Amino acid sequence: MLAGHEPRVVPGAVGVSARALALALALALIVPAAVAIAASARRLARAGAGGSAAARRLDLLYAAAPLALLAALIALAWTAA
Amino acid sequence: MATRAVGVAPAVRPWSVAADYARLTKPRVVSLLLVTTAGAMFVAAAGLPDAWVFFWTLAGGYLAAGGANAINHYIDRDIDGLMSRTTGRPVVAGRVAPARALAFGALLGGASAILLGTLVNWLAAGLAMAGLVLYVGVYTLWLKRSTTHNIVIGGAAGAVPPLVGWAAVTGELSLTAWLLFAIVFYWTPPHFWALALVLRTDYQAAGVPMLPAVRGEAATKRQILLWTLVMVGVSVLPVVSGAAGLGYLAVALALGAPFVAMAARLDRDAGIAWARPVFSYSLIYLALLFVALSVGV
Repeated sequence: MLAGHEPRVVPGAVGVSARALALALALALIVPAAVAIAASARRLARAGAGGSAAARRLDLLYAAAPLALLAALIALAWTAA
Repeated sequence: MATRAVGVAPAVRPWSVAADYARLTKPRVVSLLLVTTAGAMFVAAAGLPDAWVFFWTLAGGYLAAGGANAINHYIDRDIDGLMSRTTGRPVVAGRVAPARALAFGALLGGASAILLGTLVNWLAAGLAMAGLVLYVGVYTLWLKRSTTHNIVIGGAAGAVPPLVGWAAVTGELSLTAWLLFAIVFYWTPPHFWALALVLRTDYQAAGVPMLPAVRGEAATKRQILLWTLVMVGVSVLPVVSGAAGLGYLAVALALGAPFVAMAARLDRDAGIAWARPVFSYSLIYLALLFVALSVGV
């Protein structure tokens, strides 16, 4: 339910360079952390924790969902304005 | 000569009954949720929202979240009795009958839907009910007792209030609304795991697979640091989308830096001495971040 793009523009503060700076900062913070979170979830699944194979697959899905949402949000934010 | 009544139950004062029903709603938890609702309303209105819409939205938000919490007291009464933090809760302590807690929660939820639907709009009402269903159905009944990812996925319930606030003002959901949702969503794991570290033995005793109870302190502390970094990154996305400016960017980073520093200290140091400070700061952080968004710095 993404109804249009109506960013409340703060006057004089959101030029492309400012948005690019924010994007660079966001990526610098998010990407290494997200990679480490994904690796950790994978390690845990490989170690056999979490019960049955189905339960481990479900746990991997739980781990992947917020990371996939992150990627979508970043892409949408950048293409919004 | 002193006399003592024998076999007579102590009189229950009406105010203490009311206080127990109020406790069922978890007022302190709900108050932070309402800060995010209010913040979203200010952002959506690009200034002051209509006073009545503001009032009814917060009232409806309280009823929905309070109702969800009351139902949670009913569902979790078996494990609440096993954890020292929750043994004094009204249902576990026997001061409120389980069925009454459930009925009270359902009543509050229903009242919220009617109030928001008729006095605000039906999108806000639907979202508030979605938050209730997420908290009760997805988090409490499904995930809480089945996976260490419980608080990550279940955290979506706590992230709904900004959507309610946004919908109340605009009647729709935009990308910015979802970015506010995301800020709360990614804030929840480090916030909650910091508390769960302190309560690790409680969760172990109750058999609840919270991350620290299953994977231990070191792994949890590392996850807190990683999710804090993600959360600070997400907090700057409103600038990426053009919804906030450089002033907000500076504030978001200034507020995020101590959070990251404390999480790093927690990760680095032996023990969990920094868990409480991380938890306490996370509360201040979220409130101030939404204030910054509200005032449009």
